[in-house]
Amino acid sequence: MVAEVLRSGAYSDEVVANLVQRRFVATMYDVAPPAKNYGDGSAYDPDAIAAVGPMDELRRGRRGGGSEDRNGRVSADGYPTALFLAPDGERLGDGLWGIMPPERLLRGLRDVIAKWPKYFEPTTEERAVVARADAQPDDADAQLDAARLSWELAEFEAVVSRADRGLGKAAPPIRAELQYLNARALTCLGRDDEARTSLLAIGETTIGEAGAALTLAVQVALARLELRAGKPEAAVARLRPFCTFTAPMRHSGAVLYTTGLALWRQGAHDEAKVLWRQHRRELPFDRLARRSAASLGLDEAEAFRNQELFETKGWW
Amino acid sequence: MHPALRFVLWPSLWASMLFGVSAAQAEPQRRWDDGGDLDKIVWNRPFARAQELARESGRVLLIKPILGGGNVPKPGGVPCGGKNDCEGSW
Repeated sequence: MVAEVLRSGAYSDEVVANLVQRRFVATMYDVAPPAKNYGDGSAYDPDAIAAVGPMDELRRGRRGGGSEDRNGRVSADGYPTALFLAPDGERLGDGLWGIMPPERLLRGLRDVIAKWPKYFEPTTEERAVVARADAQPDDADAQLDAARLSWELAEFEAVVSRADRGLGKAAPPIRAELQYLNARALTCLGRDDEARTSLLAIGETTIGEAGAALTLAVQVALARLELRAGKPEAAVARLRPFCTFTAPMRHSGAVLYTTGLALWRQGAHDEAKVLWRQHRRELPFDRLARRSAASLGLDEAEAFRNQELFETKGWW
Repeated sequence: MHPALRFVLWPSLWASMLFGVSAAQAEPQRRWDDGGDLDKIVWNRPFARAQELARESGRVLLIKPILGGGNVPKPGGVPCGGKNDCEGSW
């Protein structure tokens, strides 16, 4: 159902997941008590209901129900995406409602952060990373640490700025990761041409397991830019060779999902499903495995389809 | 569970899976292995434990209510709610 759409969609996005992990304490609960629950009801939590309030009251004034149009797009304005409580239990705003792509969820999280900044102060460790990078602008390693942190905080302009500073004297492995983070941030900023240039500049300069993982990440990032440019055939050609592997790596799941998405956009639906099934079967705990499942239409569950199949805006 | 995971899961993730808690909320750790990218949102449960973590860290609770458990599944379908929504794949 709609929860599946969110779980496999915006909440499985790397940018969203990073920011939630850095700045929020995430929790979920099932509103239906066991007696009225068609699942096992194990996530039913009276403490959560007492703290949040009755769902009927929260939803008042919002259209209920979820519906899927003939093109597969889901509307569900009465479904809660995120509610926010301060550490003392005070409700912060009305929360976020409806099915949304990662970019819109990120905007909603940023709004909460901007409105109640006292709950989102950097940690001591984060301050130290930033202080070191500021004090040593020519130290590529310090800039890389700060760029990684900025990436996890979805501070895209800051990532670009750190990369600019660090690239000057960076050794090859540091240089490659800085260029990669720079490209990812540029993509999120909508500067796709610059992102592509940054990715292509990485080349084959990395070695070892980390280097191999980065090489795969670069290919996925380039393929996603090709998808954004409306060139799914280029994305398929780029990623297809990486869909067969003996030992999967960190981004192997992203390769399988993204290649499937590119095939789907080409109209090769059956071929896409083969890869999504492979993803589910071989990497069931991968971050994007749910998205592949939702793309299949989930024979094994009740769910709407993965919205990225139908909607390109707001996905990066 | 993917067999390779046994050897590489961070202690905090084990704690989360076994006890429904996050042991390292403030400083997320990178997690990946030959099971793919395991860097997902940790959904802290039960709610009382999440509240405790929020108070300790001074952070805001992001709460995702799930409405699917109360929906009648289609014939042959698997209902939402419970295990189907809480298997750690969020």
